[in-house]
Amino acid sequence: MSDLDISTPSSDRTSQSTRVEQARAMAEVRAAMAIAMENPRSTNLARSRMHDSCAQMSLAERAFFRFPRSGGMVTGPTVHLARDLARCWGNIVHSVKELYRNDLRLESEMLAAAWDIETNTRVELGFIVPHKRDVKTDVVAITSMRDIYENNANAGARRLREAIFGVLPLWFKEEAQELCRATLERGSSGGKPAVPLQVRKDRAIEWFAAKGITREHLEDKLGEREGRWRPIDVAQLVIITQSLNAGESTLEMEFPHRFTRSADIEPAAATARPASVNTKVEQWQPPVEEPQVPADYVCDVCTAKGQHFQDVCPDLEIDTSKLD
Amino acid sequence: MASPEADEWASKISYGMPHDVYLKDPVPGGSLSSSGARMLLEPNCPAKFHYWRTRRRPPSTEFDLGTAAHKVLLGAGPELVVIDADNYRKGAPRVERDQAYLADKTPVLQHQMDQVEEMAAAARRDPVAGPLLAEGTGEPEVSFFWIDGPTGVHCRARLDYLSSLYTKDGRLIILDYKSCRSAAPAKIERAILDHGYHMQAPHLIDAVVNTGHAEDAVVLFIFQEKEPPYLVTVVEPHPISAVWVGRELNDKARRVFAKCSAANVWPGYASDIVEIDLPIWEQQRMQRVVNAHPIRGIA
Repeated sequence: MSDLDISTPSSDRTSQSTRVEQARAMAEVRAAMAIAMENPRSTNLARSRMHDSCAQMSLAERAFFRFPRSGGMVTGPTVHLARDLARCWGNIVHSVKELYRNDLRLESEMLAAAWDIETNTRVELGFIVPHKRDVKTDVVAITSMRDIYENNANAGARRLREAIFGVLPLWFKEEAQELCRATLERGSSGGKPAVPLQVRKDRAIEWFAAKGITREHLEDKLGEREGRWRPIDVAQLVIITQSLNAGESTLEMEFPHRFTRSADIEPAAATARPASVNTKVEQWQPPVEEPQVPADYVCDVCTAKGQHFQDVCPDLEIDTSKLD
Repeated sequence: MASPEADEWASKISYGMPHDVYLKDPVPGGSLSSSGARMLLEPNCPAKFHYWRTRRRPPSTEFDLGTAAHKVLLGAGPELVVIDADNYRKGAPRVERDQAYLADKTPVLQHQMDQVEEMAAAARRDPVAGPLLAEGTGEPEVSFFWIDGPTGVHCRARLDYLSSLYTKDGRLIILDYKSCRSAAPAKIERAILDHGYHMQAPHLIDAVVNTGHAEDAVVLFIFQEKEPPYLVTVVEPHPISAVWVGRELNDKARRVFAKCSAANVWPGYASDIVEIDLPIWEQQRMQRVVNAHPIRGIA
């Protein structure tokens, strides 16, 4: 019902307009609760909506995140899935707010909340977001307004996801994840014909190839040769592409390269010079310079002057039958 | 752009081709080397590439030490002329130096030669670089010529040292030696960026793969400091963040080369007035100056 709302409180003083706004908000909440009571959710309808949503590739592809931590990958449902499930479940109010920004201490105080107004179940997560960013082994301060907004929005989205999943029934979330995985496996949105597995493999290989990731890298990642990839493996690649696009992980994190070590190096079995059949292999020789014919030299065969030596005269005829 | 004379260079490996013959580009119609590719792209431009491809750079003693180290360690590079003097300030050594340059040779002062031999000994003693450079593990001065498939451009590359070492998974080891001020990994990162070694690595891999000399290869750069104790660091550029990016840049350079060669037009940095913006941090700094109190101490 509500969405990401990051506002910067400007003053501690309560102005006339603030008091009006507080009264309006209270009235809105009362109205929302009254409407929720009059229009209670139908679990079947909510489930049906969830089935429709999770059958769409556009949601399924954004339903899972991946990011590296402590040498492994952390995976789970995204805030996109959480928001959509809140919409399907109905009568849920959720929001993220920046309560206070302290530019001196380089931090924002924020609140993420989800409220099932029908059952009056509420999850609130208050948290501090430092205006800092990890850069390799260092931490640097963020000062640009846009970067602070992005940083707060990212931190807020993660807390909002937890808040929404805190008020949704666990079975609702689990079923939605299963359906999203099934959609990813099918490779097409509900109602549309499934995309053949080979086509999806080829698409994935092509997508990664454009980023310098080879088929062998993908096979190492999935632990299977391409011929043995299952739909869930391709779905895994799709999730990786989404995480890369979202900046949650990087190519280096997803496909760590095993660098060459001294122990990995050995002499060639043979010292032959392999080359393709069309390759010319040569030992370089300096070009042979043709001797210059002196200007006054006269060929004994054709009497031409200063043109060629007599042994290369075009008129020279050699009787090969007399040669040994 | 291929001519019958150039066809001979469509796929060729030449052992022992002299340094100056390679530098002058033996391919009729021209070919693109790794340093040429770097000259075509930012921060350089095709006009600079075209200017320097037909001219010789003025000789510089700054690079002579590195060139001499190549020769002593790998047997690669121009012939050395050792000059028995402390410096080039006096007449005779100066003449000897200039004569060496004219003959495409590299002059080295005796004390520099001693230094180079110490460097070579230190490199051979190094536990990582030493085995890679052991005798019988390769051949110096091997030149490769091939045609780049996507662009049809003639390319050339020269390996200081064509190793006969392979990784256990069958990739040829290509070694490239660099003398440097600091072989600290953090400094090497900067040197790779500054000198475009991330473009050189995929160019060398292309050389051995396109001529069929190897199915795949890995480039190891041997960095050695020019000051005692002549420390050595062997590095492998990352296949994605360095080699793949370098490959994309090489592809761009080859396309630029093909287009400029076809039109025989070699543009400079820009074809119109360029809009210049100051860096954001400088703008912020200047804004702070503007906002500051006009004169301290005056109310």
